Amino acid sequence: MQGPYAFINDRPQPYPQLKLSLSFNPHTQTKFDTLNQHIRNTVVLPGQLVIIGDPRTASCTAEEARLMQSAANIKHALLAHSATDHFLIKNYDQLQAIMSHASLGIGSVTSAWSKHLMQIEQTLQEIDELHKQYLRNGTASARNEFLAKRSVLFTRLDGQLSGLARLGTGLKNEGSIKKMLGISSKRYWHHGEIRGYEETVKRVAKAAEILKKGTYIGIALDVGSTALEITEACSTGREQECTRTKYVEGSKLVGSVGGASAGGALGALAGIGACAIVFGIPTAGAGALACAIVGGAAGGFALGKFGSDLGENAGKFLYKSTRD
Amino acid sequence: MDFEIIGMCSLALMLLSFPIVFSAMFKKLDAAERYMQYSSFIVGCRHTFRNAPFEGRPQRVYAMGMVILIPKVIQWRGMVLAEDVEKIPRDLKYWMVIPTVTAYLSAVGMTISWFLI
Repeated sequence: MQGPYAFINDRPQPYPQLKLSLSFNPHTQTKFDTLNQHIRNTVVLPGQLVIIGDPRTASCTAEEARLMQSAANIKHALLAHSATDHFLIKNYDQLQAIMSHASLGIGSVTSAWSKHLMQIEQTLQEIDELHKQYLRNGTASARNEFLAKRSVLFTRLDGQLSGLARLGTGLKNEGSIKKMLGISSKRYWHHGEIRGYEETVKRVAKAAEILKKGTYIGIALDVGSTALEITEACSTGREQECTRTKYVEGSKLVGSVGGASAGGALGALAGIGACAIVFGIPTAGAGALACAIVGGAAGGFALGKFGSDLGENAGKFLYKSTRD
Repeated sequence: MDFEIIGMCSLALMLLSFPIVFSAMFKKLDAAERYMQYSSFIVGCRHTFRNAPFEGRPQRVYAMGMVILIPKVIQWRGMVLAEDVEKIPRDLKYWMVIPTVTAYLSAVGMTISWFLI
């Protein structure tokens, strides 16, 4: 393989053992040590980035420097978000599995949510930039152009807001979360894809932290920030759409979060109950936990989806009722 | 339209059941669980859900509700004694059963109406 590349370490192992498993020649070994200072002489934990240098040159290239920076950021994210008990590191594989198999768990919703928020933020920034450009020019012809461009951006924003309360269910259309996020500990990465991984690690870390602290608090924070974004997006002359969005999206969100949380609890118990009564699986073992996770994820997904759709209907109904 | 209304009512019922569930899980659950301390189903659920949000109390309320509603079925698997369930005071039984039944009814209502809309 030409050029430098990197891969994600998938199990805890001492640095010398990792180095040995890669079977380098002495020349590349020195370079490997230089490039992997972030893991050198430590136990390399799952999720950390291991850099394989460019075999064509002994000196460090710019690409390798970027990979080193990424590796350091990933290490920082892995350690910073689970500094107290290494929750993320210990559960990296499980979290990854949860994200790949259950595009429905509430924890995974958070990453979809933050991505969605980032897109909204980007559109808002573009609108902001457009306003500034218009103010700088201020001519009549510029005004028409400004209005046309703003209309396009508002249409895009409408589209983004229409999926506001999807709570991760929309991800289903794009394949599994794992595929969408491009995470896999077995795949090799070219330098161009590393940034995506960095972001993914941050999201996984965030999801882990929120899972640990209480998903509902995380969702509440996301909702708060989204509400601020909506307020910013509502500009003069769009009061009607603004009010409608508040009703519809607000109800959708309430329905979705309410449904998902109740569905999670009911589903988890239904799962454990079914396993215990039908299959005679003890209620306190690993089997029961698996039943609870499957039941909880299915219940959370189903009722979250139903709640979202029914909430949307309720929002429309409320909006119509208040307007008449 | 009828199913839409049923769905919306079910959703409203589910949201309205949350305060009752919260009251039950923080004020009545411990007292009710004391009567079931030898039930492997209740003890097992408490252990399994110990790391869930709110120490798994919502699930434990639903578990208690389930045991009170269908003690014979769970006794068939040897996970509870029907006599223990009978010892639970009537008001505590209501506190456990009402949130459970409300939550399951609203979930069923939401599911059916969603499929039929």
